[in-house]
Amino acid sequence: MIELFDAERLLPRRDATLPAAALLLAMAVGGLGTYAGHLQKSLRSETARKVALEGHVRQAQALATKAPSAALLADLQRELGLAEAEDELARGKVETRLAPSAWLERLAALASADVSLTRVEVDMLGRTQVEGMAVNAQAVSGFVQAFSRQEAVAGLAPRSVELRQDKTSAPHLRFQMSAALPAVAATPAAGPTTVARAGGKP
Amino acid sequence: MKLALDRLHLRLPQGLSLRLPGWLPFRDAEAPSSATARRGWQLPGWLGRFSGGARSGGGGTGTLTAFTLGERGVAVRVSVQGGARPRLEAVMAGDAGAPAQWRAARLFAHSQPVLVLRCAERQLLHVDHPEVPDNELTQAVRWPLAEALECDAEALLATAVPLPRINDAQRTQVLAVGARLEPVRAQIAQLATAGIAVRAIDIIDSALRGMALLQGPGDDAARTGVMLAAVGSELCIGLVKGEDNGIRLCALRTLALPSGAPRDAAGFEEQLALHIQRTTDTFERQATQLAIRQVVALLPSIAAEHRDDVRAMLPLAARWFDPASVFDITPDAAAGLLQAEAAALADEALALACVAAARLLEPAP
Repeated sequence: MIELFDAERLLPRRDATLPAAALLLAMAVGGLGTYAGHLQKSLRSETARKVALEGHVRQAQALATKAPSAALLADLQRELGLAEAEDELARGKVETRLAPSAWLERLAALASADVSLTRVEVDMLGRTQVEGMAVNAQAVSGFVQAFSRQEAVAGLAPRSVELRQDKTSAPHLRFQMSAALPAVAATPAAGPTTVARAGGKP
Repeated sequence: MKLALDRLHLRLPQGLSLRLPGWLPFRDAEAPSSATARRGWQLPGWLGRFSGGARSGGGGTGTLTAFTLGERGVAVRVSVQGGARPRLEAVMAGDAGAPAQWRAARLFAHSQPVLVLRCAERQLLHVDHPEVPDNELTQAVRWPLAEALECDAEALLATAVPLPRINDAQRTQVLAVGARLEPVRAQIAQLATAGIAVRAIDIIDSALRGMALLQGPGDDAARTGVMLAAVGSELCIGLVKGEDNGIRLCALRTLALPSGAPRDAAGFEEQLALHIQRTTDTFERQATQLAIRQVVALLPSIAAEHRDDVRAMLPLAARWFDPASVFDITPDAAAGLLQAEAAALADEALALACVAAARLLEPAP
């Protein structure tokens, strides 16, 4: 049989290398594109999260800076006390205040070797804040009892006494005492409440 | 139903159908798709053993459609079933657009298409057997063919047929057959456009071997002789030898038919007889080991009375090849032969039928 058919020369060659390479390239490009898209999406979400967090931080910082300080609170409390005192004065509930000279006399009578007063504050209602240092708790107790005896005449009753041992001032005790007029005459005067707060070693 | 992946055949039981996606490289052998034909899928060589002999010819069973192309072409469908006579089923002539018509007429349904090259489209060369292994013969004859055709060796289709020893010469000869690649490639492309996937190419000279095979069984000596067939304006003459229940070509020549038309004119027979006689003498001189006893001629375009005149002029026992006695010609084929005769293609049609028969009847290796 004479056969002239030559597939190698007559049929188109099927070299799959180029299509395979093109397919691989397309897959690689597609994969990179998908990965880039994923990264872009992640970047966007993270950026949005970062912006949100920054906003939260700014809000927190703003809140922190705007938080009322202790001084402001004390000022407000003082202002409030003044406003209440003026109100009570306007309603005639307050008797005549002590004169500064009378206060000096009282303090002189309260003075002792074991107690040193650092601050005395009296508002228009007669409420008194006393701060000082004492060598021990007995000295404070003696001071409070002496104050009670004096103020029982004037109508003031110690409301609270706070003792604090300050490391900076040890071995002295720092104390605070507040006294105020009894609220109503029918109500018996309450004894002083003592809050002892140890800030360090007793 | 028969599915073919180029040369792989899947035979399904009757009644069982299989529908495959269009993108698969399978095609229905009955109607090969033009897309598939254009793709030209081909199985690796190691799968070739799965290919059926029915389509590729050989073994005495199958259907084959041999055709020529050109401005005018003709297609012949031949089938062989077992030991029965080959059946000439259809003959169709046509012009350049004929392949699509042939396909529409189902000439290629369940049939292997074989493109047959005319004498002018192929080159024959007898060369001494190169001292190379048989599997390198084709490569070895490529350069002599390229030289004869004056073209590049890579621009050739070539094959080599070892010829049997017919004389006392030291070296046997090889018949080198070649064809220019580009025209054949253009024809393959034309066929692919028409949806015909061709995987076999033969030459019209193979008709001589088909004629010898169609003579039927007999002793080797009785089947040895000179075969000649007129195809167009050419006369193919070959010396064939019966061998091992097969036929081997010993020599092949192509002669231009004596000029002058019509062929029945006075003097034509004389020139034709002279042509034949000279060639036969040459063969006799070459084939000293063969006894040439007969001349078988296929000359359908010559009137019967003139054939007798030619035969009377030949010294050897000459007889006319009678297609009707070797082929079972269907009415359709008979009508087609008449149509081909009107188009002066009757001799080519019969030669093609012999080419197809040669492929179908050739003993399986």
